[in-house]
Amino acid sequence: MKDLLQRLKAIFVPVPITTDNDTVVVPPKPIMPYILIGFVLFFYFAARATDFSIITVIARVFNFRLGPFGIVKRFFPVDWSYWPYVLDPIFETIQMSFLGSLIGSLLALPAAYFASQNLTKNRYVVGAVRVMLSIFRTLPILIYASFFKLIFFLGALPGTIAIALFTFSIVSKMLYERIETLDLGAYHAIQSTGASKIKAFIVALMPAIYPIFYSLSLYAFEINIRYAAILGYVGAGGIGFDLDNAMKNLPQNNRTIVILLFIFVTVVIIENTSRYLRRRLG
Amino acid sequence: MNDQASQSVLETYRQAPVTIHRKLFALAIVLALAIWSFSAISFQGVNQNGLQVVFNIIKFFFWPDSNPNNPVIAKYLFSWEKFAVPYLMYETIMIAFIGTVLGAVISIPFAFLSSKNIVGTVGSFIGSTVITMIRTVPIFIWGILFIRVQGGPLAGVLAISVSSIGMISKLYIEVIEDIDTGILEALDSTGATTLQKIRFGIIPQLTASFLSTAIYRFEINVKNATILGMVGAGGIGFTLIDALGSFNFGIVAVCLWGIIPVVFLIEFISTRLRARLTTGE
Repeated sequence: MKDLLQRLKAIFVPVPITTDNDTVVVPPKPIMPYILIGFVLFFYFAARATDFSIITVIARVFNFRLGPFGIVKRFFPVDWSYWPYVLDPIFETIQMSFLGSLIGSLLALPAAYFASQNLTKNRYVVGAVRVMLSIFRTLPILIYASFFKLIFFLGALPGTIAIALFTFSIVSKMLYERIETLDLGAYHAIQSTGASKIKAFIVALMPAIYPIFYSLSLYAFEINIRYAAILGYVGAGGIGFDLDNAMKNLPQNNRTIVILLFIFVTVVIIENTSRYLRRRLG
Repeated sequence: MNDQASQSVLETYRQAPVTIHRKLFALAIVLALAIWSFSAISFQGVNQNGLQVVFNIIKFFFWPDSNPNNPVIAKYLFSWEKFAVPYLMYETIMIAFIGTVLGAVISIPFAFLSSKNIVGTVGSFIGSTVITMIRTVPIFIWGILFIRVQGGPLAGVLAISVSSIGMISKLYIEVIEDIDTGILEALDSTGATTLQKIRFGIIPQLTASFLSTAIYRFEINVKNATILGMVGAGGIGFTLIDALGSFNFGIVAVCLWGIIPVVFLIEFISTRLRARLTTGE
């Protein structure tokens, strides 16, 4: 019993070690046990709040009649003849995310300029722009889309604006973080020769910023294509609308796989192209 | 002397590769795609009450109690009822938390079974295709499927954990493929057993990156959990979308007041934690 207590104590309070030449070394106080205890407590409360129980999950997931597989079963046999009808919404999804990414990235350039500490010397401007960007970043695209859907008519427009806003907020953030690591030597050198700030910016910084900017915009496009696929759920255009219908209406269930397959192929093609281009940009 | 120097500068300048045609080509492609994309958007003008909506959203966002007949702040923001914002945000965070933990744990076998240095090229190709498939299925589909297990927050937990597998295991794989095998050889030379080699040679190389990936994904999952309610999978999403649908902007605004600071804070903490993990604290 005493031995057990000793061992338990050793987890929290390190036992001093005596080395061969009689110096006593006390190991650093471990923090891992405390983190673990905190984690277990948090998990316990989270499980209570979400009705999480591993037994329920396993029992119901593998209930093949009523569980999730009961729906998956209805996807088969796959209605392959539906594929021509998927093309239009898929293209619309691509168009929305392309245009949204393009507009958002272009708007991000000036925002990043005002948010980088090494280019903009006014601390308040930098702070204000950053806070604004962080607030924009907190809301998911879908919430923006459901706002814009109320303002404009249903269709691709609200979705595109939502994507543009989201792209703007993430690309600006990543861009100013990268701009702040740039070496401004050339920028100041050219200014010292009497060039204006704008000229110095174009000559000295643009060549360094462009590759980063292209690469980030491509990355945003890559992410956006997956978000664009769900915008249709709130009526903001794209394939999500058809997917929602296919899932909801019993007789159309067998179209789901076709739509998911098209999304998969589109995402893979765009991700690989974008990755290839980004590698080329270095 | 000076003249010579400027001559050599000019010479170097002349020898610089001409890239203008490549740039023009890229620009032409982007323009063409942009024009093609514009064709998808039909601008039919603003909704008849669109401007009114914009005005209301802004008005209520800054003061949710703008409608005196329907005060929402006291009822929805400062109360611990199950329909009020604090509890819904608590539920949202908890959904994201358990979802991320489960996703991060399930991803471990997925990642090991798809790493090139463990299962070879063919195995890795099959594995990463499966992972990409999981990743490309929209999160709502997982939500709708798992509502069959149990509606409400549990469906959200499962949807989030499964949809996290895609990204988490992709990042895990990169870490696993970068494992330094020199350490294992060094441990071999000390006569370590297989278990000891895993404990002291492999796990320390993985934990920091794995944890940092999971924390990053948690940040994304909190955002995902805020929308999962739209398909009935728990969290604040249902209240938000329901209020938007019935033009109840007061409730929309208090929901946003709940979401924005929470996500902001989580992003801040997550960035701090990950920075400490990568610097080896």
